[in-house]
Amino acid sequence: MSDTRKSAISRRTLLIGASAGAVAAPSIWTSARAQTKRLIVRTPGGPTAEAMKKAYYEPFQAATGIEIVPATSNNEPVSQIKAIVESKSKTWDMAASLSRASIRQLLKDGDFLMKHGLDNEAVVKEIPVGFRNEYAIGHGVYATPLTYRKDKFKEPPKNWKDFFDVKAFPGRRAMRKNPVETLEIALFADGVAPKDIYPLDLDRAFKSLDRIKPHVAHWWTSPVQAIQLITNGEVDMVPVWSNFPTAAAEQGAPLSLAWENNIWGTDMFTILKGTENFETCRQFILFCLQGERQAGVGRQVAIAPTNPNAFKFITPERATVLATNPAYQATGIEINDEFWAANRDAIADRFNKWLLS
Amino acid sequence: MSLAASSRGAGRPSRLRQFTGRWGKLAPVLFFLLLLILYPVGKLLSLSFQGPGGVFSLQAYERLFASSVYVQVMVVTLKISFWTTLATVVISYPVARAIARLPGATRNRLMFWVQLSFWCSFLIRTFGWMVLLNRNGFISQTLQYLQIVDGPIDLLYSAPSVIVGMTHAMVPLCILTMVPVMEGIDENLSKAGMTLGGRPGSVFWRVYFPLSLPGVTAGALLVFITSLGFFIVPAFLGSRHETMITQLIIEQVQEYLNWGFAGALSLLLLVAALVIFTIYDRLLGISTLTGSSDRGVKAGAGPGWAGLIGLKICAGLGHVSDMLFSAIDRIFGNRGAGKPRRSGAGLEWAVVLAILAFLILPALIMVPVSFTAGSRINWPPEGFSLRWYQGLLDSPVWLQAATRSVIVALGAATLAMLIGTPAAFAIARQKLPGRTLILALVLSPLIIPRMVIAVALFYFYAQIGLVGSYAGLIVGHAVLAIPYVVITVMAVLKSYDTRYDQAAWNLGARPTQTLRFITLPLIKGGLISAFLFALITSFDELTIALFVTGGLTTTLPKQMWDDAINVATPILAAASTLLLVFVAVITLLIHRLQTKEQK
Repeated sequence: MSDTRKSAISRRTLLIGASAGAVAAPSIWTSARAQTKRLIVRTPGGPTAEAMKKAYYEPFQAATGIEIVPATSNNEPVSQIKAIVESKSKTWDMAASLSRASIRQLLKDGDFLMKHGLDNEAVVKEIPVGFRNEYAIGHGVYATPLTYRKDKFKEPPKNWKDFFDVKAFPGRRAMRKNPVETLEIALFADGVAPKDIYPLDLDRAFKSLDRIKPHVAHWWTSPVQAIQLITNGEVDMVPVWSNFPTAAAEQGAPLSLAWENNIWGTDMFTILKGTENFETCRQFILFCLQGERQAGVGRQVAIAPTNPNAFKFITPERATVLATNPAYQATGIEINDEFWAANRDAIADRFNKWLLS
Repeated sequence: MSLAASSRGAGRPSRLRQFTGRWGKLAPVLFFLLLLILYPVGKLLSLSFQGPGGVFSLQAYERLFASSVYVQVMVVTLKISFWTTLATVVISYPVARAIARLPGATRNRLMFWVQLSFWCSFLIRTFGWMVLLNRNGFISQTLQYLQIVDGPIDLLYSAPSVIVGMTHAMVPLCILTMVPVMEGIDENLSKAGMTLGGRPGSVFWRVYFPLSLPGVTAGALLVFITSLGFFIVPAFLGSRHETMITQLIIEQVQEYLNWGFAGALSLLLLVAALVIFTIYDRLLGISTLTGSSDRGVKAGAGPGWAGLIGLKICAGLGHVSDMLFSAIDRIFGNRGAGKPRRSGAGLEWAVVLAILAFLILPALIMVPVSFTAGSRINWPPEGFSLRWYQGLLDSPVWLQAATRSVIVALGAATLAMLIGTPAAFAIARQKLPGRTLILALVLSPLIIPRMVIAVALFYFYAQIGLVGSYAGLIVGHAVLAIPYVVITVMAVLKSYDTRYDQAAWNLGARPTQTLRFITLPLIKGGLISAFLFALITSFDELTIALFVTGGLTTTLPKQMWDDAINVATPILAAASTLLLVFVAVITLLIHRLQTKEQK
């Protein structure tokens, strides 16, 4: 980090009034980076970033002497990655926690990612094929189960059918203001089997949603908002990504999760075109994919490991909040990003209109 | 008299000098905005005309009008912005008037409370409203405790709660725009009106109010245009019905990754804003804003039809308030003809204090929350502890972020003043071809959604190597601050009597001397307000910072946002409380210094 700061100061002095400084800046930066061996890795914010720092970045530096610099960004940094690659500014070397949808978009729009070529490595083979492709490898799984207040239900809700059953489970509800996952939930509530969810039967899904609409007190846009709603007692049940309620429950909030038919997605590593540190990126990815390393993240935040060997390093109790727990995988489904990529525009129009009506 | 000549103070200038005199003051702002707004944003918006494979296509626009939903959302956006503007102007006016008319110490005290709420991050204020209005929040629990209601009441998630949240965010901006204009109004004019037999209500509506109109129109315009771009307040305080257009734009960018359609939606917003802008100009007259002083004289000689209608309305309002005042006087038995204003003055104070309480409440509610021993932003706080302050002090990230924010804000505000002030002089005083167009360009950073500017700047910066630098952040924030600077300075110039300058010239002062010793001291209040706006715009700015830092460095709002979207712990409340104390101390120090100077 000290080098960045140094170069930042030198750039600042150069930039006083002179545009020449701006042009000279990238070369100063790049050369400094090449010498000190550091990787700049796009990283999500918050507790997940903290956990990754402790479980991946610091041990990697201890083992190799190579510093990992986290660069935080919003959820789907597709436009940033495009700009970085197109302008050859090399601001980031690689990305962590990128969704499958982002990777699909980047591959579709042009030549922004590099093939990692790691498929024959032993540690990569430990990871089920479903979590990887030739451009990206999954290192974590997030999921949407049903979060409910333990203190409000004698008989806790078990699944999405219960969530939609306002007679047997009275109480206020919140849902995500986005059709992704919401329509899947509506279909599960209407009795559709996991294997039949995709392609989504839209008419059936919206009809099912019509039933719950009057009972949804709020439609959340950020997961913390959902947690705020349920911990404040504004609502009693809400579907939200599991790492958020888990963290809140660890802090004493009376929350519990119902995992039947959870809907999950994969966070992936990918290497950006134009990096000068391709080999180091590969070395770093292999380091993080080890079961023991992934377990280090899973112990701190409820982001589940993709390497099944990680569960050897995780207590059975902790495994109850992790989506790749075999018990949860049996009834859960992965978000079908291919379906969504093809249909999302039309569905978004319909969903937004339905919400306003 | 040629304005170009007068501004140079020389005899007959050459064509070249006339040209530079006319455009010299505008050149920096035009260059800056064309390079940093029009070029990158235009490039980005052109994506909306691209179909698959990069060929020209109107697909995005066909989609925009195929479903009624987008026009519907646009209408909701306009409605909410309209009500917010109306509420903001009505609430701001009495406070601004009180501040402008009161003597030094009391004035400073009022100003202090207004500024205090202004400095408090928009994120904190939104959380503050959630704590206040929540079903189990402060107001609901207090009312239940007082047995006014039986059970929890739903105050959140409705159009009124969104408008309350947005109005709260906009009132300080509006007050600080109005005050400099009102300070320029000669109180003797109202007194003259009374001496001539006008009753207080009529005097106010027929004398004072029309004179304060430039401040009102400037404030309303800033508020309306800023309101169009709100997205966090409706997302946190609104129901599914209060969806605003910027929310959809951000959804397209962040969740659907559809830049073409986001561009089309942005263009819809832009067009709507420009249409409103034009109608507003025709009816209420941004002409009051852009009009040069000689046009004002003409208007005095023979007002246009809009002006006539305005005068009639003011006269009508004067009658109504006169009747109200006398009714109040009759009820409270205060009939003495010698003191007709007493009940009015008491009422005025009550209103002003109530508004100040409204302004400061969401930030104040965070103070007890910050001492909670629990880990949620809840009401009531659970127990007492200093753990969240400990957390703040233990993490160097917060302090670094705060320091960086201060440096960037000072840099951005200075740059925006240097570029914006000359531009305001040029637009307010010179005859310019296409003045409305220039004004629209200057206001464009307010109208174009910040998310769009942020990504456009990121593309641009990546090419010239400014991502992650101080300079990039300062320049980006200066762009956003320029409209506030220009509007505020223009508003004070409008009520500025140019005859002072002419007097100085007659006495032999050179133009620079006139500027330094006459003009600038006279418009000092407006300049300070403008600088303050610029400072706060940068200090509280999140979206641009999220992008142009490249994620490598952090600012205070970015650090707060990171906490707010990932965990939302009371560390936010602790940060907000410390910020409140810090700002309070600084403001008090400045006021102390000013008072000393006056002595």
